[in-house]
Amino acid sequence: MSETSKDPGRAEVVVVGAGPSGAVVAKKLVESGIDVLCLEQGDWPDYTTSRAADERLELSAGKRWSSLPNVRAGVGDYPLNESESAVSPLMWNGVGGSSLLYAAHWMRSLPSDFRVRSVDGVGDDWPIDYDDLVPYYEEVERDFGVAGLPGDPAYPRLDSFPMEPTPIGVAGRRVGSAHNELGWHWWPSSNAIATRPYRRLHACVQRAACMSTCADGAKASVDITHWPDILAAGGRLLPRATVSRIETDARGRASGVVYFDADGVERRVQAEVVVLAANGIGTPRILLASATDEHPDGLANSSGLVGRRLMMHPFGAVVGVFDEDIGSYQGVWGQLIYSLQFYETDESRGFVRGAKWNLMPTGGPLTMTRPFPWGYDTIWGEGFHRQVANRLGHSAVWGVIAEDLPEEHNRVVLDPELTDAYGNAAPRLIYKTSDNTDKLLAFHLARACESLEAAGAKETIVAPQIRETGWHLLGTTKMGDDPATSVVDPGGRAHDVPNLFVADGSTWPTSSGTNPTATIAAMALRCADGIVRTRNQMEVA
Amino acid sequence: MAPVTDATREALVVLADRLIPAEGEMPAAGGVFAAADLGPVLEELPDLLPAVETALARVDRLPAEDRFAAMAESDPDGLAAVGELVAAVYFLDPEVSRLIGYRRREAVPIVFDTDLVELTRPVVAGGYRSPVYEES
Repeated sequence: MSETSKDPGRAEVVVVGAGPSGAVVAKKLVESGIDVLCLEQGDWPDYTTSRAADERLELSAGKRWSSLPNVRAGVGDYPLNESESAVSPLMWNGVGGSSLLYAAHWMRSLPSDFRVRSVDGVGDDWPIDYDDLVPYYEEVERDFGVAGLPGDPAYPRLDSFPMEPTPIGVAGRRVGSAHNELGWHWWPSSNAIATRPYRRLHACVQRAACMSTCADGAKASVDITHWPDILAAGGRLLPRATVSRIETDARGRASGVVYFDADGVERRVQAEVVVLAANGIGTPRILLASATDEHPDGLANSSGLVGRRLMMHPFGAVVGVFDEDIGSYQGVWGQLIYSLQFYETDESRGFVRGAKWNLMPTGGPLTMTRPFPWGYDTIWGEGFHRQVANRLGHSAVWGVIAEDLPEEHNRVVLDPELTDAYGNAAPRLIYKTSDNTDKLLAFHLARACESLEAAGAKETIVAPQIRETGWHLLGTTKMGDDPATSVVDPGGRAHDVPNLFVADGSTWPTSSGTNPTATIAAMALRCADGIVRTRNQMEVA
Repeated sequence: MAPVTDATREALVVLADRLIPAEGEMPAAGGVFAAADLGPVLEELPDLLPAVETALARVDRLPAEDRFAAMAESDPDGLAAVGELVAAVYFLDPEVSRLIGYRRREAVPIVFDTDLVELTRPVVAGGYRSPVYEES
């Protein structure tokens, strides 16, 4: 009998999902003396299969370490019907969650991200602001181990990082200097990558493999930074436990969760508090699948907003090709530098909000032959070798993360036919980008070309828009003060179910235009802090 | 993982020479492909071979020398699959790696930049215009 097939009994708090938000919540609760059981549909990562340190690195993202669950089809993955979505969601289902594959760009949201309605008349204001999150940012930056340079004028109250920043490289130096000439904002990057031995992390050795797992133990993925400490402190983690629904009692309190163990046996665990940390798709999927006669539209869904307002940060990219060898297939990956020059709204541009740019390497020789980011003009045949030599080691890419406005028609629903291995309905995504996003990306990509040209690029290439860019899954259980227009309150507690919480990026009222892990982690810590403070007064089943 | 048949390998060798022809000191891909152990590539990309075989089946009635042009004309996805396999095998070849100056990702300890404060001085001087935040 496998470990997951044992009856876990009951738990004071059940956390669903062992990714960054689940880990942050579990750590805080366990440290506060609360009995925590985390159910995770996937397994622990098997780093022995990582190709980060060998010559097959560029191949490994094609299947086993793919960020596409439909391609990977691994333990813990559920199928996704994305036929009506312009963007494919990317995620890792397992202990560590998507921190296994993220690029570790560590960016706080900016103050304006919490005031989008007030500033720009679109979306919603958050019921909290930047200052509310600062102490939580500071704590999670210590726990993850973030390397950066304080002093960016864009970020108030960011006075220190736990570690010195990662090197900006030849490319970062060139582009940063060009921005100085242009009078444009840039800053050496903040990354959740250890630049020296830090707690359980080793120092980065710059294999540029972050997005194919870090086999060197230098990237802050929560299977390393959080779970060993949680387990040592008495927390429990049950991998390969696929939660299908949340159960409620006659008074509408969450009473526990139903899950399938690794052997496919349906089991129940009773809980006084349930915390969902299953990402912007998995969390609404579970809530919608928890429908009963008492709540036929899904649990915690009296607002009708569960699954709606899905935001995935449409992504653009521009490559700059340089005469000089800039050593760009090895280094931190990770971001070298970032720019917020065009982050805030300027009405003269014809759209609202903006985007954050991150400068990154372009990869090894095989990547030089692929349509992304190089476009669909064929590289094959005569001129192949000249083109590879032109690009390899001589190129860097600005990634552009577009703020995605919340629109109710962009949503996650349950597929009527597609199911996972246990018969649970798979999620179906309905998502299209907006006119605002299209204008925003066009503007930013043009400016990114100017940036690279100013840095001396002999050629700039706007990468084709591709589907596989949905790293950031946000917005599907909106947070707010009004139960009629939001799913959870400012602390992440479901308006309809007083002992049910959402701790992941689902709660975001707007998406910001930055990489979300820092704010997801800070929000999760704030949610857990609220659970600890109100635990004794909480209405439970 | 199903083995690559001799017929598939032979067809790919011909295509490989069209995809990556010889130039200067760089060898054509056909010879590299013919001698290569495909196992390490297909172990990492197990879904690739079926896509390649499907693409080859679409052009197998054509003379071998015409298949590249036909795929480029009418089956770009198939050509992309074939190209991915051929290029993956090609760049894993140690001699090819040596010729292009590429080495596998070695451990390179971090050396910190020492001039970042100086480099970023213009950014700090320029400030940042937040529409909502005035630091107290």
